[in-house]
Amino acid sequence: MRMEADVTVIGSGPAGLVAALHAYESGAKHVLLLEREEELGGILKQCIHNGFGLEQFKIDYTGPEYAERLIEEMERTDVRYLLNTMVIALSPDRIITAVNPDSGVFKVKSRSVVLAMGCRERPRGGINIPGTRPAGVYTAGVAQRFVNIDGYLPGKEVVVLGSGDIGLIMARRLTLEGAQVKGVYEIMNYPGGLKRNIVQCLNDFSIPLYLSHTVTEIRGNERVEGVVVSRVDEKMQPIAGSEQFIACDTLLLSVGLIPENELSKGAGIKLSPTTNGPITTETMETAVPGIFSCGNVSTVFDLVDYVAETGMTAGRNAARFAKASKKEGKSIEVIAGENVRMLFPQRYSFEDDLILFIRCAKPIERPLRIDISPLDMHFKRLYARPNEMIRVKVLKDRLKDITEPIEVNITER
Amino acid sequence: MSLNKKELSRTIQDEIEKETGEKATVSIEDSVVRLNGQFPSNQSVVDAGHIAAEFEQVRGVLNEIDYPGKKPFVPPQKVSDELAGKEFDVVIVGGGIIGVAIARELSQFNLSTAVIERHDDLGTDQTAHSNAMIHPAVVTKSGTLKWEMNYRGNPMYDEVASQLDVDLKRVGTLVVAENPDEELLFSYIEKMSIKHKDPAPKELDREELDRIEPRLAPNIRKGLLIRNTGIISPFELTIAYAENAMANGVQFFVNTSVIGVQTEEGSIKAVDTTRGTIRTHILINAAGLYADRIAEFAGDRFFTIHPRKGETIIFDKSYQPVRTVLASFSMAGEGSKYSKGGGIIPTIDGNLQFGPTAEEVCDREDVSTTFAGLEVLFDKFAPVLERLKPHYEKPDKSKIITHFAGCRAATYKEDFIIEPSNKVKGLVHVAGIQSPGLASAPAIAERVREIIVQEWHPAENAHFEPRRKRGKRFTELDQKEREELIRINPLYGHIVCRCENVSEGEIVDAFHRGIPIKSIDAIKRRARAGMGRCQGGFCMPRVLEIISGEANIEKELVTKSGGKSFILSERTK
Repeated sequence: MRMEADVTVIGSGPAGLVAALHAYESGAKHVLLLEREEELGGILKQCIHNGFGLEQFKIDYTGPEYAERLIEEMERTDVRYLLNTMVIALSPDRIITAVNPDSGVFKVKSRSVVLAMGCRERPRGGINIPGTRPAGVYTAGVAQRFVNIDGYLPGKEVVVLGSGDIGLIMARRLTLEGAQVKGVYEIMNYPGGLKRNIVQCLNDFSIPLYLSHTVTEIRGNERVEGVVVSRVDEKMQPIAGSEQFIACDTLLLSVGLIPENELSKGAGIKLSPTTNGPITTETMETAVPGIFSCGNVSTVFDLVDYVAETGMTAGRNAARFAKASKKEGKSIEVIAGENVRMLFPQRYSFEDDLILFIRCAKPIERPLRIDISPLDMHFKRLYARPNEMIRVKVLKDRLKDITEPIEVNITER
Repeated sequence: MSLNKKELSRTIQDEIEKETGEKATVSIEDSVVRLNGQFPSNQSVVDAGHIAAEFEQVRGVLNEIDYPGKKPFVPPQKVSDELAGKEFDVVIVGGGIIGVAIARELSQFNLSTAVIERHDDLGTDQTAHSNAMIHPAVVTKSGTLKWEMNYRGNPMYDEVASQLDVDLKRVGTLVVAENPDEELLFSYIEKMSIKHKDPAPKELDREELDRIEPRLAPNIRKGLLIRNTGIISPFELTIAYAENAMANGVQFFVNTSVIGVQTEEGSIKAVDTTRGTIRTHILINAAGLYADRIAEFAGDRFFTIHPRKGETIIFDKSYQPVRTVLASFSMAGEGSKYSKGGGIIPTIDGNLQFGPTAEEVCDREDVSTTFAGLEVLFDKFAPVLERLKPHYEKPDKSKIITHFAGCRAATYKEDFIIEPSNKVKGLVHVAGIQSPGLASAPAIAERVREIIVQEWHPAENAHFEPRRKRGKRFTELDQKEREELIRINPLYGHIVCRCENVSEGEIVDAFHRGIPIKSIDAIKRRARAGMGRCQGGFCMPRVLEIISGEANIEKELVTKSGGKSFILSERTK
């Protein structure tokens, strides 16, 4: 089988759904959405907590409700989607190889492609926790699926390592389901998740958060019997003598998300070492013409609203590319300067307004300014924390005459 | 030097005291040395055992010395009588690579054979934790049984892999010279190869090196390729041997431990297991880490197993800096007296591995990994790799996807024991098998066959079928084959493990190949689901669901690796 499409979107999480919808609304006739699971929605399906769509729809949805709203909007269009469909390869000339039980292996020739594969959780091997390898060590997302989709409690006495948002949300969720969460341990000296999740998921349930702590050993032969936690020094090395054994039957890991870019790499798309996602311009176009990327495959966002925003941009620009393959335009670099750990997008191509997503390198609990050079332009903030992404918008008009790279610096006021 | 019993025990005692500063009680019977006493550490006890074993006239060492932290042996509890009344000609204790290779070998005869395995699956102890290499004989101490089995076993793998339909790559060990002086050392390896009857290694110039191992450092002008080094999946091999043995009539009983051996007038009569007593007249002791316990049960213990732990790290597939087992002269002598010290080894599935380490431990069940182990491996191999391949991405800890450990079943003689018992008729010891056990497995099985044939003259099995066909794998097929397969069975079009591209069809197939399986790890070993970079993060809940359906058990009863390693705790709704 061989198919053709104007825009093909890979992945139907929030980024993919929004991208497909906006590609269609921007005039692409044949929009195809490919999803490897048996339902649309991606990870939203298991995120039964609220906080979705606050900025986009001004409504506080749960994950499944938010997905449902997007799916309903999409169902009113002619966007075609295929479920149980795994993309196994993507070529730089935008030929997609996919497989599913109904059609077998097939190819899609697409005028433009939107990557929306999202991210995966960093597993135990990724952080090298020593000890035994019993059952009971799960990433927070796996536990979330067990509880919210399958209806099973993965364990009764739980230690959470890492204070990423999913870990915080699962600490609350497991508590509500009757498990005892003994504590959340974070190696950094600041939390990984959003402030609102610290308050609503931990503080409200009296679950302690231990900063500058990590798990240094897993014990138990068949099932986890406990973990050893240690304090860490400024270099994040465990401090000898600070070890403490905590009996538990489950260790949940919420130690980072990794954009899932195996397909992107196969297509020869250049990735950024700081975001682990494709280097893109403000139109979400990657270094390979006609291939766009959005959402958590580009960089891990804090909020679904940001994910959706990049999805809209990618969808709109993918439709534009499909209509008239854009000639190579000029673009300039966007550089992370002082106090900036992560910056997205990494290039500017003079097509759209520049919406910058920024993570600072360290917490700054004082008023600060974000300077955009060479423009004489800055944004003020009262504080900045690495766990809370900063979003700023620079209008296209302000940027039209720039020739040198744009640099973003954060300085205390 | 031949000493009488009294002189020998005196000398051993003195040597031990000289080395360890501790006094052991030494007694000798039938050339077997028994050591007793109270020592301060496991290492000093192990040292004492090795010292006693050094004497040529010592056949074996029973090391009973106590030390703080020594784990008493707790025999497993009987759980049922479901196997009671069963009777076989041969019972093989241990379903590791050695046990299954012997089982398949004996299935060529009209013998009823059973394999009993304490874990929920085969090949889960040493086999699973080996470095997956078919070693060349040149690295094994000449004159030992180890060497003989290695030398015979290595070339047998071409036929074994082809008959059992298992991937084998003769990648070779590449020893590179980093300077002209080191080039002179090649002749030493060449001489060793002759002495060890290994095929002659091949000297390569830079042009040939670039073809075999591209992008070596510019200062490397020459290399020596030991061509017969192979890599293989030890899981796949074990399962293939077992499936073939099963097809030829061998029965397998997992979750079954030995708790006693019955003899009558000096002959094997039955073996007591946690699931009932099985009658048999031939008992093959291939029990690995517990081979000395089995020997004890049968009344013929002349060796002690001391567990030596090895830790290994595996890198993500996106990092494939080597094609051969790459070695430099700087690595020589890094190993201890009893271990080759691990290496920089590609796996058959395309991952890089460093390891294993070698550390004497107190507990045979110690499979824990350590910070220190990781550091040792990294400090030892990363600089060598960086130096030999400077233009390649540097090894980085963030690229490690898993870190595991297992214990080698070493005896103090540090050699294999493959012999009929000289005390109990019907008992055959296949003990002390450690590295290069994998390389030796086919030869060990052949040696056991010779022992059985010589003693019992079994008739040949006219229906023996040496070939086994593995299941289809999505990743190995071309587009046309994939389409064909999915048309016949759409489950092959449903990808469950996205890291390794494993389809549901492959997972379901694992349930229909004879060996009963019920755990996540059993699927991982067969279908590779969960073996990739996310280590089952995505597919584990899906695999759990498939197991629950195929094995027809409640989800709460699905385990990670048998026993009480349940994945889920309870239903919530």
